[in-house]
Amino acid sequence: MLKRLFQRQNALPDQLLGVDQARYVVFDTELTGLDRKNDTIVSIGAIRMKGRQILLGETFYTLVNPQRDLTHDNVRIHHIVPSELVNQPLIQSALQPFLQFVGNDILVGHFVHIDIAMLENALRRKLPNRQVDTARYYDWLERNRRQFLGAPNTGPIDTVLFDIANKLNIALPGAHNALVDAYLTAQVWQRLLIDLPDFGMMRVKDLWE
Amino acid sequence: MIQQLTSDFLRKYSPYNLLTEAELTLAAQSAILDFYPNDTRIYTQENSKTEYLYVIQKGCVRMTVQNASGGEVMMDMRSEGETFGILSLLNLGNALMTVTSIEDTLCYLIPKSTVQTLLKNQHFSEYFLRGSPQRYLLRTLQEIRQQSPLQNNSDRLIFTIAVRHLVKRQLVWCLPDTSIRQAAQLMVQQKVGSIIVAQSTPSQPQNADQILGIVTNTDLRNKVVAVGYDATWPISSIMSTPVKTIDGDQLAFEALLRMINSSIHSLLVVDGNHGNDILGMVTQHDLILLQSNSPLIMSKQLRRDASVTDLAKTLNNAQQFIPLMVKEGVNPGSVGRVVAEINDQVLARLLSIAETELGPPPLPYCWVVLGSEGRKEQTFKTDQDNGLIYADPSDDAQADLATDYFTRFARRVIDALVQCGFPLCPGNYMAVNPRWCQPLSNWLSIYHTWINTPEPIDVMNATIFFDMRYAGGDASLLQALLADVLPRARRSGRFMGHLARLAVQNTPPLGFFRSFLLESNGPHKNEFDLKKRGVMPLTDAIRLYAIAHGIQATNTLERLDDLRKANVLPNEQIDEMKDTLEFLALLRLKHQVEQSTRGEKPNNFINPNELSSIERTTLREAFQVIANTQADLSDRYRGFMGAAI
Repeated sequence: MLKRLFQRQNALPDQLLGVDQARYVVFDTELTGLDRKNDTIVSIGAIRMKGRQILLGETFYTLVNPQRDLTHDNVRIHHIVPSELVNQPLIQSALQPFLQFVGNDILVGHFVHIDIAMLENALRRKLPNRQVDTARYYDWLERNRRQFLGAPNTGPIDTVLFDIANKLNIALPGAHNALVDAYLTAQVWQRLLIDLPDFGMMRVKDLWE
Repeated sequence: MIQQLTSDFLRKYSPYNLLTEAELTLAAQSAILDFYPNDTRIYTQENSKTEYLYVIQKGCVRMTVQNASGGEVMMDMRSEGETFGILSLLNLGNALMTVTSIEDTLCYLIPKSTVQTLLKNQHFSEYFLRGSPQRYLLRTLQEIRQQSPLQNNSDRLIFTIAVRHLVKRQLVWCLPDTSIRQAAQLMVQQKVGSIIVAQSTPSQPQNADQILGIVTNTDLRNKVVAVGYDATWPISSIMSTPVKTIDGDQLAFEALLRMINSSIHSLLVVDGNHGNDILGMVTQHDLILLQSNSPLIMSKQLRRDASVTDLAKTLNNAQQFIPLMVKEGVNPGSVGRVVAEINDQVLARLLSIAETELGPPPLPYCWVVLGSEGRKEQTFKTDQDNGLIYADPSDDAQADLATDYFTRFARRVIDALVQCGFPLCPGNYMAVNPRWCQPLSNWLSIYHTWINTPEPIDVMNATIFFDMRYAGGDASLLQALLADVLPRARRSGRFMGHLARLAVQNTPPLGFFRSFLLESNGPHKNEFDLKKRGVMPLTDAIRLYAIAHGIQATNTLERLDDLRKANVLPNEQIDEMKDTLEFLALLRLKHQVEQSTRGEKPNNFINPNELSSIERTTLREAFQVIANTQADLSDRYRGFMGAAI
């Protein structure tokens, strides 16, 4: 218990750091399915940010052997075929370099709770890192803009990653995998970071888990 | 994967295409992607330390330098694929310029240490250090700091020359007790539009302290002619005070800005370093002259470009200049003319490229542009509106040949225009539509149908087709068309009646007590549509006057000038319409520039509460002019308008 607490303390970035100064690891996973109990990870992609700056050389990507059959639907979505995965590391050994890459940085993802749940399932422990969901923040900012800044109410807020990217005029790369999606998410977070201080999110401590 | 995306981007542009694969990988691995919303200072001259070389992935930045007197001089604009920051990096990281994003801008940042490695590549470093735009910039920079006027760079002159160098005029002045008549005579003698009133005997005033006021032609008109001041009264009774001054070290465009902001035509130029000694006067005309060269510079480049891709690129660069011209206060009328001039150059090149590809045309043809492009009144890139008239074929075989050739020809040109960024016309008013790509005799019969049996939809059509302007090919075909249809149109009371109905159908939003009538609900509640209720009714009215008097010009201001020469309308009415048009155009552009600065999509909806009180008053006057014009049209065409309903 004490050790866990200690770890958690260590893993927290300076609470008073400005959101534009903090370090983030933006990541995405691809899964065999959405069932938390029975499904697992087939790939992880991540890219680091320092404040608004996306560090293009600091990326992480691994495929994972899920030790089970991939459904046809699945393969269609992420274009990873079973034969590619046979010689890949199993999830436990794939996670070590990922956790090393992440270090104490804040974890950012689009609907991040799904990826975190899958990671924590595999790790069989909670991740100590602070977490940020770009979908939730986008939705929140958009709501605030409508309510307080008179932005037009254009119906329900669309939080699909690609639609957000389109709306923010972010170029969509042709290919599509966990790393490319993480890069896309990073660019969304880059834009959100500009607006957050206007709505009172100045420091790391203001970001909700 | 991400590195691949980065290096693929860099590889497309100079000087990164000169790097080896290993160097490119190094650049991509150490690069950072940063985002700057519109109007962000990326770094500031002298106050910032720069750590990176910046490559623009998307967006546009403006680079400015502060001159000795603290003014900002625009040096350059950079857009997609272009680099900035090398000079500052080489200057031990002390920023030499100020760089500001003028759109939402994404940049790849390449850290200093990587740049040092890359500079070991000789091709790469030579690009930056020799014969490059940067070197030219460094030289220009020094010149600006020394405040020397640049004789050769006329395109940038307005941004670089100090006002003191523009003062040519001898000061025309008089004493405050001079009679209005004497002062007016002096103005006529000296051929000037304004006179300075000063307390100074016996010699000419030397210092701004001695200046009491200024009297302009407008003062004479408004106070003496209109209100009835006696011409024997002292000039001081009608002078405006204080006289607006500008320091001689300020830049020409700052003078222009000041004039436009306070709606005045001249400024007194003083020497701030010598206790405001008078240097002379500078007028708006002097400044506009300076600017007239810039489109020429662009068109030179356009003529050199060989391929559609090159043209698209140059055009894009040229277009980025437009919002800036607006922002920096260039008269909206000249903006429209500059845009038209550039677009015409592009079109001329595209026509000749298409002719080279398809071989010479079987018959002479004339490419025409319609609507706002025909009127030279577009500011931003708008939809294509065009058509093609070709000479009448002599037999069926030639007719088939011509149809085939011009169909393919029009397709080429329209596609190339799309490639250059002109969207297709949603109403399909384009030469690829067989209806608008016809021999002369068919065009004539289309016009005849419009004129003889006008249906409302035809009249809508007709308005854009009566703004038809020559854009390339054989001008005599358009001449033949106009020579036939203009006299027919003015003789057809029914047709003119339809045009008049169209011109009066949207009234200006002015209530009984001259209050503004605003939208009472919907997304534009409490606003009004300046284009629909102001600019268009007036444009429609002036088109009608022009057709009625056989005037061929399509630009609204030129139509007014020709109407004046034809002596068919009272001069005051023409003056009023002209002032109104210019005011509305300026208001609209200002509104749209403000919107785009705020990151909104520009529209034409104005909230009168957001205007200054002078703007509101002037706008009321402007709407009154439109209402009067519409009343005049209703009077003239009453009989025909009734019949049409």
